[in-house]
Amino acid sequence: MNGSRNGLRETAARLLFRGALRAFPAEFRAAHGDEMLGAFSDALRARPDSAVTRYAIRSSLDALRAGWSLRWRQRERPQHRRPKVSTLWQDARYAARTLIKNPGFTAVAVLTLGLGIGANASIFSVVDAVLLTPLPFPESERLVELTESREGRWTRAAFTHANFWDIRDQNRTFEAVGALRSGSINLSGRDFPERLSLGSVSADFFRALGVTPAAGRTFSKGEDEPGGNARLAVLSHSLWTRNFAADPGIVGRSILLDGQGYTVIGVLPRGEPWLDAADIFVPMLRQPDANRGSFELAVIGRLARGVSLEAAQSDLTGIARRLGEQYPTDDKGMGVTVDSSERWIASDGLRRALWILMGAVGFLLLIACVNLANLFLAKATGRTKERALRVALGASNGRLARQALTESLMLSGVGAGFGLLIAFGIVSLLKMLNPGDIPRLGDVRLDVGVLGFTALATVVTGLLTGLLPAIQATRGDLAGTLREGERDQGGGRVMGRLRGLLVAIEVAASLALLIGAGLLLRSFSQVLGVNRGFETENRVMAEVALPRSYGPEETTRFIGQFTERLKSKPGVTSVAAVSMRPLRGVGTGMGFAAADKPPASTSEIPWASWRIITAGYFSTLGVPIVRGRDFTETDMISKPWRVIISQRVADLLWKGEDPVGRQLILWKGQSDLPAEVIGVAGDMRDWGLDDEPSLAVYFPYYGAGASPVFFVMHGTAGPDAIQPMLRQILSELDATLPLSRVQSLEQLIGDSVAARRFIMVLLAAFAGVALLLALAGIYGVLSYSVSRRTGEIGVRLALGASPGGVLRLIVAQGMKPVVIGLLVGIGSALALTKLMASLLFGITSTDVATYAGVAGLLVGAALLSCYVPARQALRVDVVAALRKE
Amino acid sequence: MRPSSPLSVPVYHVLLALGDEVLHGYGMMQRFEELTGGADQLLPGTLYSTLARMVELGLIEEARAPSGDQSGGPSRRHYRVTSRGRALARTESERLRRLVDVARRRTWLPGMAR
Repeated sequence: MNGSRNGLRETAARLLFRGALRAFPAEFRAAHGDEMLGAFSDALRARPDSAVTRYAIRSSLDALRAGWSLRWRQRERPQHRRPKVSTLWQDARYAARTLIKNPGFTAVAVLTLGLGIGANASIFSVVDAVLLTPLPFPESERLVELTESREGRWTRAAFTHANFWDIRDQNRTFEAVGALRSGSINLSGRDFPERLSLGSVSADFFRALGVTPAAGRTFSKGEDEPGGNARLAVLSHSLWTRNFAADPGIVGRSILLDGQGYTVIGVLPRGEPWLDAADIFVPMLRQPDANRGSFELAVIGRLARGVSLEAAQSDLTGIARRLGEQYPTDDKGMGVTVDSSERWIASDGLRRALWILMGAVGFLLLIACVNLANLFLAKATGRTKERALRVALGASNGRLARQALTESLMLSGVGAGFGLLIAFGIVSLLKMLNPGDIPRLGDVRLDVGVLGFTALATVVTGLLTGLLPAIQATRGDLAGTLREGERDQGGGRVMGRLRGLLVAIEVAASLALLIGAGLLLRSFSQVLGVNRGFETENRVMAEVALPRSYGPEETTRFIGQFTERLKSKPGVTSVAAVSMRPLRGVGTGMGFAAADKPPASTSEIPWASWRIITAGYFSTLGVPIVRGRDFTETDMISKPWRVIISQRVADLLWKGEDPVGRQLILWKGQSDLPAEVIGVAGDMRDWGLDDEPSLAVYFPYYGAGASPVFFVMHGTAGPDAIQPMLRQILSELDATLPLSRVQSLEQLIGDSVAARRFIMVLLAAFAGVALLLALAGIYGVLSYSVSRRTGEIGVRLALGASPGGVLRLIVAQGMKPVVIGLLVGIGSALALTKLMASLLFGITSTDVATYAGVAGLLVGAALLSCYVPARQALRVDVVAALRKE
Repeated sequence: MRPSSPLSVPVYHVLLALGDEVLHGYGMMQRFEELTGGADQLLPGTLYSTLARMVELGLIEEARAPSGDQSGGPSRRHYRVTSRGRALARTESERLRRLVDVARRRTWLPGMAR
């Protein structure tokens, strides 16, 4: 009894002293630790029981003091640090040797990581350029965009002229407020006439942006006052380089716009937005009779220093309310929305799409890491004996873990190098596929920011892939391992579970990606398959811009002559004109109502887009006239007002009744013009295929002066054949008129879905790679486990198990983590795809067909990748397997 | 270390414990306790760090274990005093003796002559 208590006391004393010895530097401990402990134990035993505790405490305190003072002395002698550095170097060399010795493993790992890191670097470079790079304006956080609204009717509409000038004059929260009106103008007096986009801007527009001109000056204060000089021009940077060879001498010279001389006063710097909003900018003079009915100005403002968005909002809301009271006809219920400039570059949809892609490549990298961790685990398990031997020879656990991490970090470093090459390829590909409406895509490059991001991703990847093997390296029953050798270690339950878990993660992540891609794919085919309401086959569209000198009469005559001459050309069946290019997502609109059913309140006035068309527009596009008749050349616009309405307008106002002959009120709530309905045309999705068919009201072109004119042609002649005909006709009618954008309607459709296709292709590609990686993971784990279980399988076969039963056993084992991953993946997809609801069309984010299809695809592929190792198991030579056992 | 400066207490103790013998660490602890009648101890922490330093300074050196000494088992290092160590021990003892003489004259110590 007593003896055992003494034994206990001695053990405790030894523990205490051993702990105190840790105060000594490791090298010293390695050299003298055992001897010190031995001496301590001997001394302890030589003492009477009563003195043991006292001695132990005294010795331990003494050891602590001596140890720390030794450390303190060594601190000043750097040569004692050398071993650490050389350890690191040793680890690195060891890792490099290991990797070189396993070229197959290394190649697979580098490829996997390269794909993961490359995809991340490339998408990050896009996100960086499009979303994270600040606007090219000083203190852009003070810049805002202003839009008008009418209570209960619409928000974020363009400004009317009069309201803009009032806001500009009355606000107390802005340093500057400027407006831009878009149009077009003909540049002549050079080799050939050219149609340019024109921006009419108030004098404060560029001042609000804070633009420093590349040459000359921009408009100065007061140059937009009534009666000022309107014949001044500021060139955009692209026009300057394209048409004037970037000649700074252009400033002060005169150019011919719509046949009038304009003096060039300056050149804008390169950049977007706004700076590229037009080829050429002229002053927008304040008109004394400016109207409040025509919404056409884009308005921006620079907040005064220290003014918050909210303060500006309440200032403008007050002004809008006063305007509403002052001009109830036009401004009743007026409001002003202040939006920060954050969204100037990328729309909400694009932002969302890019962040979704960023998330997708994050998933891809996760899958790559998991795959690699799995490979490492399998490899590490194969090296159990080597590790046990090294531990027995004195390697510390920390050292082994460090070595595993060194190896994975080195791999991910090499993988990152390869990944940057891949990223370079992807970025070039993205620029090639540029759908045209992703801003700044041309500026995307692998710059310092991207390299930094890649470095970060590399380290995280290295840690993620190395962590599990590192932990595993520090555990395990070493004696048992040395005794048993390597056999059976692969079947360790914990390791097996761990690898199953990794496969489940891979399956879940790739399933979520696949479902995301699947939803976009289905949406895309829904968009293309939607009932457009008009024909696109064998239809060509061309744009002709008319100068301001063309009044209604000239315009009507020109359209008539142009149409007649074109119709007589070979391969052209019919020709018509319209005032708006379809599928552009922008257009003109107005409130409307039935004269016999006035709306109860202004908030119930519906909104329709309007277009001006010639006779034959509907038949040329294959749109049926459901009721009434088409226009004829005797239907002059506004004399009297006669309109054709779309089916949806008819259904909205006169459901179940005949609208022909009824009175429609145009610009309801503003001008309130009565018009007679003469026909009803089929609905068209002419705003965009993914928009609802438009509520549309059509006016006749005859007597209208709208420009530019869009000609639509139906016939066998394609765009290439038609272009020379158009040029010839133009040269006969008016050689100064420029022709632009001769495109088939199919091309227009393609352009209108380009952004959708772009995002879809990228996500699908990433999901495909993810699937391949996941399948490789499933295959790898199962075939490894089969190769470890040949003995067991041999015994089963020898005991009479049927090959079918063994096959089922192996496949079931392989599919277990797949099924778990599938369930988790479906759950996370249900949650994650909610984020992409706004990108979908015609389906919801819980589309059963997509989920079922993707799950089926994954299960099928997983079964295939289980089948190969399972077959391998059946070929086990029973006798050899048993002998091994 | 300048020979004239006082030795640190542990170094002097080790020199005293070793004397002209060849001993391992625990042997020194035992011998020192014997020699001082248990009034003073060498504790292992201080002892071994002092030994290492003294080897570096050339005051002691490792030596083969005397034949027949099984007390320490096979792995213990044995040490003996170098001539330099002996010289230092002598100098230090002289210094201490002079100090003790002073103490006697101050009648702080018993057994004084007068």
